Amino acid sequence: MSQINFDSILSDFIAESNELLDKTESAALSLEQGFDLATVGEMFRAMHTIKGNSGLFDFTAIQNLSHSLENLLNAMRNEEIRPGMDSVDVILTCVDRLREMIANPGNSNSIRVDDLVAKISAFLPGPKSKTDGATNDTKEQKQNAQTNPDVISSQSVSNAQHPVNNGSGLKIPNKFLKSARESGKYLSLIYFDLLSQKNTSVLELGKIFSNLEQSGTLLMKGLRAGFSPLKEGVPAGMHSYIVTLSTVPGEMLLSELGINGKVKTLYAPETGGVMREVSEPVAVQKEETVIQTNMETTSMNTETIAEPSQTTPNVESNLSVGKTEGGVDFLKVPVKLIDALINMAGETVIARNELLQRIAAVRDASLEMSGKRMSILITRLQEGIMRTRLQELNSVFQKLPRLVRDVANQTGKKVDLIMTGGDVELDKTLIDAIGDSIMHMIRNSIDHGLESPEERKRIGKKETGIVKVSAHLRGGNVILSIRDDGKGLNLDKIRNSAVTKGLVTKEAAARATDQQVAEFVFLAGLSTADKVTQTSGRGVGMDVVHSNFKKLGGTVELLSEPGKGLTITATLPQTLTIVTCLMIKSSGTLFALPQQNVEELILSDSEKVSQVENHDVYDLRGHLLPLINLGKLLNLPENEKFAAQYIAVVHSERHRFGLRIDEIVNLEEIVVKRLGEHFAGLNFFSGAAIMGDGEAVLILDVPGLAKFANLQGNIEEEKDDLEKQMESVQETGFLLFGVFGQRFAVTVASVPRIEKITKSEVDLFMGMEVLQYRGEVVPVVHLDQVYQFDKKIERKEDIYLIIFHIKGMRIGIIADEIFNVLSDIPDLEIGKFTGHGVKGHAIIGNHTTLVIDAVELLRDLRDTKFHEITKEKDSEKLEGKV
Amino acid sequence: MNFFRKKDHVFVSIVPDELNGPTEKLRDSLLGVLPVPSGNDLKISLGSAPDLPVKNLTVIMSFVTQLKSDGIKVVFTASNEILDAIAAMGLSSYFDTIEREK
Repeated sequence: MSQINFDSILSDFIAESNELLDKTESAALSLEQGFDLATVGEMFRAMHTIKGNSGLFDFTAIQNLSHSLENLLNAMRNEEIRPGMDSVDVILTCVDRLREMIANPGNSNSIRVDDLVAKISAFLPGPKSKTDGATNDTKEQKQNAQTNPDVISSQSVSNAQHPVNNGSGLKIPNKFLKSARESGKYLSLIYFDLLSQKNTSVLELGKIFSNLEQSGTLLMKGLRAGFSPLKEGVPAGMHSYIVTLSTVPGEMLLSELGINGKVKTLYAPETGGVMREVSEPVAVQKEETVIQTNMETTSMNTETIAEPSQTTPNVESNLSVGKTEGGVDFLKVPVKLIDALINMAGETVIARNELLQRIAAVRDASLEMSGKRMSILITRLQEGIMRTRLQELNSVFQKLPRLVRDVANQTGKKVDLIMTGGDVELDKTLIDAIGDSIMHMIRNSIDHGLESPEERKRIGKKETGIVKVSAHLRGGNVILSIRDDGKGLNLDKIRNSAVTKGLVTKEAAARATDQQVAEFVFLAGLSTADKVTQTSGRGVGMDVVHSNFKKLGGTVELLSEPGKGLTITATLPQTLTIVTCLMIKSSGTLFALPQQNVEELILSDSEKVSQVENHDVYDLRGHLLPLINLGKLLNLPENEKFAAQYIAVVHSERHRFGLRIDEIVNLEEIVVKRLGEHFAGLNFFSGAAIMGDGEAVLILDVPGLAKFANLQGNIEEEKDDLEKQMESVQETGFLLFGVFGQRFAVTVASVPRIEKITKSEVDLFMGMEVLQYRGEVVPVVHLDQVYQFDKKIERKEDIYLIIFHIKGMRIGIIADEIFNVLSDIPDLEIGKFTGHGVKGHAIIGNHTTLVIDAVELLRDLRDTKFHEITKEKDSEKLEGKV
Repeated sequence: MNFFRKKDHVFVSIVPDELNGPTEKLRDSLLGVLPVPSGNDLKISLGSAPDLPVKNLTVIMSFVTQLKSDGIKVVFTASNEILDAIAAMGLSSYFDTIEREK
């Protein structure tokens, strides 16, 4: 007989409830900005689920509170009360209490909820108002409307909430389109006359609407025209519209429902995200990304919930996250199982590396081919498994609006929170580990960084301060930035505080540069706050943040601009486990250098090495690059046979320098092993790895090396120079190349490398042409398959691969000839030829040349799955003709 | 249809037969209530009627529209089922106040 695993069900309950509470919290905050039935519906469903699930375990307190909250939300859903600041406060308090109970469900019944239940009851329309005569109700409502924003006034219903849209400018929230795109469903606008339906009973029609709503299909509804006054005769029609999100086209949906109507498809998955032309004016609303919180309005405007209610009255959407129609999209898998798979993938990579080394020694072509295939498959398998652990930063970001609201309220400041990059994915371990640190940094930014509204006004700033939180990916790292427009760090105060508290000596503090003083905030026990507040001032925090990021292989850097604000930039590796590294040797010792830090490798030219203030520098294309000799830095034994003949140009967030090395061995994916605590002080190593032959190697930490060598941060200046260079190249440079005799031109700025290869190096793998390039599998694009043109010449054995780097992925274009780099394209004609990435065409040297934006082309192709290129080769479905 | 006035309040009660009867007849009955003096409140009740044709609902909605254009506040009372259906169709906001029939 099978037994129910109660513990497993309980952990599912906890995980799901917490997820639902997070959503409820975000939704509640958005209600302060404007009433939205869809949002209330989402919250209602969340409470309903928590109530139902808690009943299963007999957690009566959780059940009672979620039931009460459900009642409140139901009243909002039925438009009996309207959310205001007070009711949102109660909802948020309930969410906090529920979290507390769910964190320790075994004791949940001992936590009192009657206080909150009573508070909720005060908001609910009482039985008196329901049963008494109209006179009392109306008066009561009138009074309530004046005193309680949570009660809908008669005026607001009749004017603002009138669900009529005459079709002249119906606005479809962009989130509906986004939702359709992400779920691959149809988004349809359906018009129909309720009077001309087969189901002419109110209950029957109501049931249809209700079913659509419950299944999450109905996003929006309303009338296209109001009712004519009765004196004008019997109404001839009742013209409604609905916006639906369905797995089947709108026409089919109508037919299934037995409704006669007219359908405008706003999004169809097969059109690849392009809105079909619609005859009625339909506008897609721009999403708001600014979240505003301040003491007076405490208004919130979030990316996911923002539609101005006055333009889309009565939006009764029922989008529910994670809800699927007729299928399961998500599976809950224990993290332990994923971790076990990741460990196995790591061990498989090590075993593969060992096997490949042995295969290479045998020198058997067929064995090598098999090894290559196995290698590609293992790489893909490992990438896939790693992806299962990736989570969007949104899981942390969604907590920030609440935090900002609370801290703003506590400190009496006005704050706009702007968040970008919530879709950046990060390993779950990292997400779990950095959540508190991010919140701490934001709390600090508001409490310490931003001035009070009065102070800001006095110094000519806007009363409302800005905190920007952004995240983006760069070379396998996630760069997280928290920026405020406050007063910046008070370096004198920090210096004095560090000395007073005995954290640094007076002499050291006097010698320290501004940047070093700024980094004193990472010292344990340092606080410059004049008083200890609820939010900060205890001197515990930034040191913990710093050490948290460091433990995870990341860095935290500060850039303070007095009077303008502070930017905290934290860098983290996207995953912890497997890293592609360049294996190098210095003084005969093997090291792993993370590829994400490597910009280029050059053969050292001794004539270009000079000394500036006793430091070696290298003249790299007119720029002086600081040099670090790895062997000397690490005190490795010197030997004549070890000549530092190569320079690896490496960068961290703040440094760019050349690392002198003796030998470049190869590129390898290595499984990172943590260093023991004895190595904790060695900042220039980030971990270790076991190689295929069993040898252990240390992984170099580039920022740590830069610090160890006392390099000054130089990346800002370099960036400026680089940007200038890029600008000049973008203005002038075009690479001319030929494919089967047809000429193409692409902007040089977007071309990182051109490799000469042979045709036979291109492999066909799972229907996709790929090339192994520096240990990486690079998908290959044939322009003759993308654009249809006559092949004027035969392809030779030697060809070129132009390699582009797009969003962390390398993609190559095959070329037969490389002609020239032009400073400009004269007489570019636009519009005659179309296709992926086509900018236009020009006559260059008597040849018609198609000018393409390769990045756009490759981004298109990457997004539409690369393997489809070869499949569509014969059917010539890809657009574009030359 | 039952209809009576008391001070500033007008009470209209539509019986099930009328609710499910010819649309023209319902319209005529409702027209008989008009005009309602400005400043009055009107309560329209569908009693415990379980359902009604959509066409007759549109007549009631037109009646409400007429009243609102005359500045009359309208309280609507019906069974739970009818109110739920009206809410699902997105029409409940046409009324100033909605009450569920006891």
